[in-house]
Amino acid sequence: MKKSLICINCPRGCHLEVAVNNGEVQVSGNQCPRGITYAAQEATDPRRMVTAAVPAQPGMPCAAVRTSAPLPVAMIPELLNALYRMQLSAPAKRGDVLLANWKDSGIDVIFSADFPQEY
Amino acid sequence: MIQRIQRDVAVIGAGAAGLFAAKETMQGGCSTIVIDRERRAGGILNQCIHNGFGLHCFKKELTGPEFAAEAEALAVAANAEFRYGTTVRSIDRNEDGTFTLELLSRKEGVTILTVKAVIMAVGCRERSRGNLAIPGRRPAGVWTAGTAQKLLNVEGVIPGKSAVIVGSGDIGLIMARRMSWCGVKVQAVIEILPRPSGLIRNIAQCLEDFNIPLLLSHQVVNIHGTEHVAGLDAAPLVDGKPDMEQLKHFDCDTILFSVGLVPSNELILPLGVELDPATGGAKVDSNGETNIPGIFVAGNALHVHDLVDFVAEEAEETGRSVVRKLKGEAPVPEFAAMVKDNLRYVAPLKFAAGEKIHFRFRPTITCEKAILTACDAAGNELKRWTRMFVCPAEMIQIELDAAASDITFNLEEVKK
Repeated sequence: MKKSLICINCPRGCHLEVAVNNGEVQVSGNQCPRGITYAAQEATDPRRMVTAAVPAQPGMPCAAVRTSAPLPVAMIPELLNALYRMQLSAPAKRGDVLLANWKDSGIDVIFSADFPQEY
Repeated sequence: MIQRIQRDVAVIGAGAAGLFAAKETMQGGCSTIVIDRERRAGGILNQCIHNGFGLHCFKKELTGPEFAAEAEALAVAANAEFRYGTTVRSIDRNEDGTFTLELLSRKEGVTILTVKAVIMAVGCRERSRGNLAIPGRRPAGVWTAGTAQKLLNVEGVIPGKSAVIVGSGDIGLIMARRMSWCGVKVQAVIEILPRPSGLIRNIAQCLEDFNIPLLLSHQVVNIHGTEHVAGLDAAPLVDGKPDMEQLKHFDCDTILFSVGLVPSNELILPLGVELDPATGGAKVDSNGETNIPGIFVAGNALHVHDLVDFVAEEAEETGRSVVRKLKGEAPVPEFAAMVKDNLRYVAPLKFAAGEKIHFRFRPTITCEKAILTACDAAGNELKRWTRMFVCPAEMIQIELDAAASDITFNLEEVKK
């Protein structure tokens, strides 16, 4: 498996090539070691911080939430669907947990702002 | 009943710049009132619910609302006074050098505020379709990226089902991801320049993750639809002109414009504040002060930053300068800073000798390695800095022990 990607560690944005053969990761195009770490992670277990605006009851603004750590990319659509189906009404504080240990990932969804907010 | 109050400093805008400036003026012993037309602190950070803020300032990665809350806590801890839901209608300069501000709010009515100094931390505005002279009809469904961001992230309204983004500024890129995550099909990002305007990491994380094509050197030539947007035509630029033979049509119901930001200056222009045409913001000295003594500007109202952390740092410096100024301890900036090659602007434009000054620039070139030099009036090199990878999307900031001479900055590519 071969993959091209742009390194996001610094503004330079190296164009990386990463190949995985029998579990061995080979990276080229990087100009520093951070490129190797990033490409290896991307090739074997890509993850993203997920942020979303969760719907609230009519007349209330959305709640800003985020994952407590980067979530495997494959798990993102299901999480987003679950979040968008919610309709929040109970007040929460920044840092409160909305969903604990999502699908046994060890990752929580937490409020990134107090809810509800005046706007 | 009109309230009349007096404070040392008025900070207009409770976003990142205003909160950090107010923290500093309060800590310096100046009574400070922070005024914002919104009903809460944070400004534009509140709608930037994505992460990536605060790595320099707070040494951790935060979302916009989290950065706002942390910054607000600092200003609150310093005992700054806040007026939310309040608009500044006018600023008048009095004969004794103080300023009188007319404040208007639903809750408190009219307040007449007299201060010794004003810090403008009002941020910037988005350029819109009207700034670009794009032909076609004027249907509904055309938004600036930031307006759509507020709609989606604060009010929870998804603007459409299928979108095209015009301009590759960071807000547009962030919105491409946000809308994709909301089930909106983002068909393309169209950029008139041969290079993207936004940060590279945003291209990678917001476009490539979702296979959204970025059409460089393409111009929007038509917007279709009568009541509502029905589509958009773009054409590649050939010799600087759109090639209509290679027209690309997109069916879409939503168009977002992410085509640049302009510092907001409406309130201070009547005072006679001079603007720098290169930034669109006021000309300031190393105290952050404009040509009108007592009027200071910080953050995106001064020049558009790519990182909020730099906004915060700049505003802190300005806050400290205001304190020194009000105590009569501020140095007098008498030397000029200028830019020569490959730099679009420098801020500040005047500085005081013998001070450690942060100069901020925006390069006009993209290259792997560049050397920035500072030369005195006689052409002698004072200092040089090597920068790996420079591009227009990234502001350059340096610190210099300023000598007693005008300084010219120059940026040169180092060829391999």
